[in-house]
Amino acid sequence: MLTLVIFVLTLFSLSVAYQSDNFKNFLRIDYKAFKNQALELFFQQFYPGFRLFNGRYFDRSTLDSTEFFDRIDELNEEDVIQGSVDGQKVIFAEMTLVKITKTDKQTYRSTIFKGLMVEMQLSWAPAHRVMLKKEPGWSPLDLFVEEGREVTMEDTEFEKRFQVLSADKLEVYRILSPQAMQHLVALNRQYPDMPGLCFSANGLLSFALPMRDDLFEVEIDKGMEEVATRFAAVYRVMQQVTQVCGNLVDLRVG
Amino acid sequence: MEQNDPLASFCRDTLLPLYQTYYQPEKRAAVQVANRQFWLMLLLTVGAPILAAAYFTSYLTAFYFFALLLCLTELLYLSDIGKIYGETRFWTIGIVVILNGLVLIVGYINFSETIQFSEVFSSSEPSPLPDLTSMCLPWSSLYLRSFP
Repeated sequence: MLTLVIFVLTLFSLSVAYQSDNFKNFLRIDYKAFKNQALELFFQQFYPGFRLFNGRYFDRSTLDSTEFFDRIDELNEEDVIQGSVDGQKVIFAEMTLVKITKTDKQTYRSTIFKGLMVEMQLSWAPAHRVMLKKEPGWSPLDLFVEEGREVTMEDTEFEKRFQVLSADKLEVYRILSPQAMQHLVALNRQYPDMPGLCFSANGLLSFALPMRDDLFEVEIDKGMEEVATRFAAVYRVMQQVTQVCGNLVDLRVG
Repeated sequence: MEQNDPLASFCRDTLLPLYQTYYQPEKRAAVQVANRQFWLMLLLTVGAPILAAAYFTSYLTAFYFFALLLCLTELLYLSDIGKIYGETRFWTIGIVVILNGLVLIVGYINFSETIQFSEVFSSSEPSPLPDLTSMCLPWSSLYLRSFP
């Protein structure tokens, strides 16, 4: 019996010693701190003026009063980034929008958008919301849609690519000059995945850039190579966003 | 090529040192060593009685051998974790010393009677396990002694 006591005591002492050291906690990595610090250094070096924005992309208090959640069921916004391009304030976030369909037996979750939502403050504002949709069907820009009629444009190339919706036909013609339409067609050729654009009456220009992967998920445990790959993707996306914003800033209305 | 790539040089010069600060590769390697030490101790706790009984003729000598090996690995383990944390872990040392002190005292009292292994199976009753290998015999004999 005593031998058994010795055996149990030894095992117990070892397990207590092991638990008290708690290596797991000791080596626990603060992923969020690493990601934030790494992104901060990245912005400092490549995009000064840009920073992680400590807040939400969509203001929830205004969302509740709109039909926002009639259109989607779940909104996940992460890593809101703020900066400026050519003096215009730009804010964007990695976003996932989910629609949930319930049947008697099952609940289906379908991701209707995954990518970046970008908002740029323009130096001018249209009198009414003008919406450029690339194709019929759902796009994240539907979140901004108010009742509007389709406006026919004269440029056939533009007409093939975009469906224009607005309550004010004259406002559309004022914004979408022939040069502006050419500019947007060129932009669409370069970024065919871009679902469209929305000029809001408060001077905000919104557009979305779909993405397949989680962009800013910089996980330290996956190794330095994985971290470098993620940052290469962040670099590419930052180039895209700043380039598109730079192109759209040029779209000035006199 | 890499020297001209600003992103590659950013990863090498800025991101890698930050990554290593968070990832702590040296500490991780040290913890791996300490973990191996721990599993060795555990293996020793289970395996030492078998080995000791296989190579020693008396329980007391076997127990001394077992205690010596155990204390040695525990000392190594404690010194390893001391290096990892960069400080003396009094709690861990205290727990290990107190419980192992108990193990040694109880073990000494238990094994100080001089009984040979051969005596365990020398009773008039036939052994219930006559075909056990030589490795299993000492193990079972050592622990069989615990039960009436």
